[in-house]
Order: sequence, then C-alpha cells, then structure tokens
Amino acid sequence: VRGAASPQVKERFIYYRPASLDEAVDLLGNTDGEVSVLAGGTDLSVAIRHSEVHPRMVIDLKAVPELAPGIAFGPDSCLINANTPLITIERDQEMRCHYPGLVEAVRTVGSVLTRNRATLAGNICNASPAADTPPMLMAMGAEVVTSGIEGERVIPLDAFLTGYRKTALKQGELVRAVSLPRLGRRAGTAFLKLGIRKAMEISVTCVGTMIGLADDGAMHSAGIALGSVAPRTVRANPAEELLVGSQPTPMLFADAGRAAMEVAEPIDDLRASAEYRMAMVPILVERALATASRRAQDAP
Amino acid sequence: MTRISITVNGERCHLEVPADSFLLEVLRERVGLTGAKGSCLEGECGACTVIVDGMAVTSCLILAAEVDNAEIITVEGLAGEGLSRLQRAFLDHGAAQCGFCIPGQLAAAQALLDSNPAPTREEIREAVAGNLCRCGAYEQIADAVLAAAEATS
Repeated sequence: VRGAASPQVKERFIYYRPASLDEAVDLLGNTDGEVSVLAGGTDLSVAIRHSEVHPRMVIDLKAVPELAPGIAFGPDSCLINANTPLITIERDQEMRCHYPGLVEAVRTVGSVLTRNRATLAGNICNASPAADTPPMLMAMGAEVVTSGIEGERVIPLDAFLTGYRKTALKQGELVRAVSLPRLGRRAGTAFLKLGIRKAMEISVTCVGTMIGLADDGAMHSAGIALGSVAPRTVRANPAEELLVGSQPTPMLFADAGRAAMEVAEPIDDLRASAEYRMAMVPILVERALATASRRAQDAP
Repeated sequence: MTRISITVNGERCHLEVPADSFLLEVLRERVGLTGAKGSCLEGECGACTVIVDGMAVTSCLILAAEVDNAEIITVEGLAGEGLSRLQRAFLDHGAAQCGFCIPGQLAAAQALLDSNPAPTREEIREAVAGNLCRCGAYEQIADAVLAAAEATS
C-alpha cells in the first residue's frame, strides 16, 4: 500500500542532513557517542548492515553546499570537493588529460553502480589498505583538506592515513576536499591493479606511480605508492630516491621495483598469499613506472 | 522516523521511514515494488539496481532517508503499454535465463542507454559489470542491449 503508515520500529541511529558546513562540523564536534559521516555510503552502508559500526548518529553530507560535487583547476592545485562521485572524476576531460593514473585507479573501484555514488574523499576516509585510489593519490603527493571546529587543515595523504582503517581526522573534523598538485608539463602518472576480475574486485596488489621530467630528460621527481601490501597505503621512498636525478631507463625501473619491496609487509588472506603479493610488487612497480615515463615523454 | 517524498516510476510517494531503513527494502516492503531483488546486500551483485535521478545504483546501499525528493525508476517502470524495446530485446536474445538478475540488468542497461544511446559492446559490458548473472548469460545480455540501442538509432 503506497504511503501506508509505517510500523513502529526501533531505529539504530538518528539521521541528520546538515545544510551547511558549519552545521555539519558543529554536529560532528558536539555529539556524544559514535557518529558516522555519510558521503556516497558504499562502504558505510555495508558496515551498518553487517553491524560493524554502531553509530548513534549518521550525518549525511549531501546537502552541504561547501562540499557540493565539483572539480576546480587552479594554478597550483586541483581541488576535488568531498561529495564529488567517482564517476564524475573518470568522465572529466581535464582529469583524463592531466591525471590519467588517477582516472585508471578510479575506474577500478567496484563497478559503475558503485562509482555513481562512491566518492574520492570516502575512499580515503575509509582507510582500507586495499583501497584503489590512495596509492595513486599518494604517489602524486595529494593532500587532504579538512574542516573542523578548530578550522581548516591541509594534510599530506601520507600523514593522513595513519594505520589500518585509521586517519588523522580529529573529533569534529571532516574532509572538505582532496587537493591534487598540478603536475609539471612533462609529468606522467600510471596506476596498475592486480586482481582476478576486471570489475567488483579488491586488489591483490596495486601500485600508483608518478614521474616528472626535467628539460634534460632526467627525472626531477618520482612518486611510488603501494596498496594491499601493508596495514595502510605505503609510499615506497627507497624506490623513489633511486630514480630522482637519473635518466629513465628500463633497468632503473626494474631496480626501483625491487627497492619498493622494502616497504611492503604483506599478509596472507583469501585473495592471495603474502609471498605472491610480495613477488608482484616489483613487477607492477616496474610496469607502472614504464607507463608513467612514457606518458611524461609524450606530454605535449 | 524520517519523512521522505520520492517519485517512483512517475508516482509520488510520501512515506515515513525508519532512519536505518534502506531504499531496497522501502521499495519492496512499503512501495510494494518487488522487481529489485535483495541478494548480497552489500553492493556486490547488482540484483537491487534501480535508477535514482538518472544514475544506476545499488539500492541496498542507499538509506531511504538519502533519496528524499529523488526520482526513482525501477524495472516496473520500464514498460509502457507493452514491454520496452530493451525488455523485448532481452526476450529476443535469450538474455533472461532464470531471471533473478534481470531487473537489475535492465535498470543498469536502461540508465546507460538514457545517457549514451549508441554504446559500444565494451561500454555495455562496463555498464553492467556490477550486475552478476549466475546463469552466465553475459553475452546474450550484451547482444540484447546492443540490439535495443541499434533499434533506437
């Protein structure tokens, strides 16, 4: 019967949809007990259904105008607002042109059905070690812009992801936007994910890479980060250091791949053994670097 | 309880729903439309796919409270006087085997055709990649969507 009166049931939480950033931050900072922030909801809803979280209140950010879907290219950075669904990022012509590696990472998240709701900010805040977009974001040096009762903070993603499903967000803080650095003219990004299927897949290992070339063709910057091989997304500093200052060569990329293994501490789980994951790190890093390098060289 | 107004297949519904209820269950148990199916209930299988404001989504992962004022189309809303072109193509190509996944497949495919009337086979495969078919009729499903698109253009 349409519009029939509802049966009396006990609700597990209160639902709020604040109409401004101030209201959202105030609710977040001044509510006792567990509060869950809802953006796309593709992770939170599963956790609610499985009783993995027990929020007293769910704060839906969709009506907060300051977080409204949008991508803004500035001279030094590109700001992706917190409510921007992943599908918008992958279909944006400028994103495809400037950040092909990020578009590759986004396109491996779930399926179109997932990406029509899921957000980049949510993928970061969920802080899963197997998340697809953080390795690419971390390799590019992306930052997380937060808003809270004490004001705004800009936190490098490497510092924002503090551990297994843990972030640097304080009580009363939420992610307002993700900030990508504008990469130089001769820069390239590439993401690779190893899984068993093309869609609806959680990675066995995934890798994000970024290479910036100087006028003489040497690498003046390099970024490499790994997913699914540690309690959190990890940056492969030893591998990056090996590259900076040198000319890009296949041999050097293979060396960097091996060096990246130093930061990996994978575990066995239902998707793969630790040994297999570790063995895949150098291969994926080497291949992704080769693609990033080619993109940097092909840049107009 | 939360009051929501939604338009489902063109019909306006005013409902009072528990804050922790999901769109899938509200559609099935309150609106009385059982086309969208509950199966995995974690966004993995696509059996619950409906179109919300033009986008194909898994209704099992959306709180009913989130879709206040939204326009929703379920598989029941695809047919007019007779079956839609897409539905007819599914029958013609043997895309519906046991049928359980078909409401979701149809919703995902219809959302694709609404935004991209002439998709490639690869675009079709991507659009329904989140809709599992345990009968394995994936090729027939892609054939059907392609045929429906060609018939329209």
